[in-house]
Amino acid sequence: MTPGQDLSNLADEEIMHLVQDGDPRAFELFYDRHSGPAFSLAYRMVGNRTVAEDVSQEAFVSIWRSRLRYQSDRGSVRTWVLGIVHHRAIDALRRNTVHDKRRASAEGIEERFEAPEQTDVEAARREEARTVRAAIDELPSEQVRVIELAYFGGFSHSQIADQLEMPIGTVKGRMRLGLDKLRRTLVGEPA
Amino acid sequence: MSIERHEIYEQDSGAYVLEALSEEEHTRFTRHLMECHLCQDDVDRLQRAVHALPRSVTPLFAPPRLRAAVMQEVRSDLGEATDRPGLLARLRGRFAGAGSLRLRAVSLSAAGILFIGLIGGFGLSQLVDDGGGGGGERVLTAQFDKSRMASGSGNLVIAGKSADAGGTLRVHGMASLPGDETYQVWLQRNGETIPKALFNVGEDGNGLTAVDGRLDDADVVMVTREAAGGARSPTRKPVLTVKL
Repeated sequence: MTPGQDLSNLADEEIMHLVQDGDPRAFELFYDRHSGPAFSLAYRMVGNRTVAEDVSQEAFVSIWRSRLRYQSDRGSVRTWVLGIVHHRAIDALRRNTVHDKRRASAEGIEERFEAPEQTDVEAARREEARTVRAAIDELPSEQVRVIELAYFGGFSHSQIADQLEMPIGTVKGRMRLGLDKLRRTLVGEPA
Repeated sequence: MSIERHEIYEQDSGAYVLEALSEEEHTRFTRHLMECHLCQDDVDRLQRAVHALPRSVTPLFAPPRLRAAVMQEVRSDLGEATDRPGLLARLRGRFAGAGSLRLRAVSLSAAGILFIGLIGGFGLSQLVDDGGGGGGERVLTAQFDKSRMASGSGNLVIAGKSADAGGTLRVHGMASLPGDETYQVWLQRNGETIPKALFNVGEDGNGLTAVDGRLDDADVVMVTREAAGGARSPTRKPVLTVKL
């Protein structure tokens, strides 16, 4: 890559190659592409802006430092980034630093810094979010509940079983059935 | 692998991909996965649904300061100068031209000041700006939009002669904002508008913020009023501008 080269038209995978070479300019672009979804996920999970910033910062620094571990055959760059953010947010939740604060998410704080649709990319992200939410809405509510408690809440199956006062086997079964139905809905496969 | 053994683990695949198994169960299931193609297929299928979950989240802006913090760590890892030079670098800029012995003495005392400042809870920009007396500072007057900020005044102090020394913006008489709004600093360079620090002013209308990055090749520093968390590009007209 030459110093003045415009990187903005490169695909995520190509940017990732440059990041793996240790190019900070490529990492800036990488950050710009993925920081919105990363911060959104962190905020959705921890429900507190300061903690979400900490989680996102830890995740991106960790991505930079472990950039050679990315393998394109194991999924897209975005999936990899969101997976790391998810792990960091679960760590934060399990350190129990945010379980009280995250209740604030119910106060509608999201609306204050929700990204307006300024670009095609943001519009596409909104559309994607609507599509996935619509697919989730098609699941029975009891399946949605266990999946969301596990994924966004970082709770184990036994904690969920305690909270919902149901057998662990039922929780596991609902997780599996719900995820399978979600996948089928998203790919348009008949049930 | 026997079908019976698969049936023992079959129900765990959902909890496994959601990382909701206990550590012990997770280890056991991972070991089982190595020998069970049925569970491998199941995990691959369910993983696709898990990967879709974060995409259901309402998209939000990452705050601009997060970018600065991340990139500072990246550059630090690379051993490069960061956009925001440390206090010692700024002080070195101010004392450029002094002998090495003097520089070392300044560095040591600056380290002491930094330590005391951190213990006392002072921000870096306050320490630098209030230090005064250094050579090579430029003080530029801020121009306010008097239709919206009639009593506003302020200046930008560009610290030292170093090209990337950044500056400190000090303002007075600005409206104190509600919790869901913030002032945001922007740097314009070659037609590009770059988001910088977020700040607010006290009830007395006074405020202070650092303006990081190279200012020697920038055209304008400006401040807009934005929703809390800041924006990636200005959404309102600037309340103040400083031509560089």
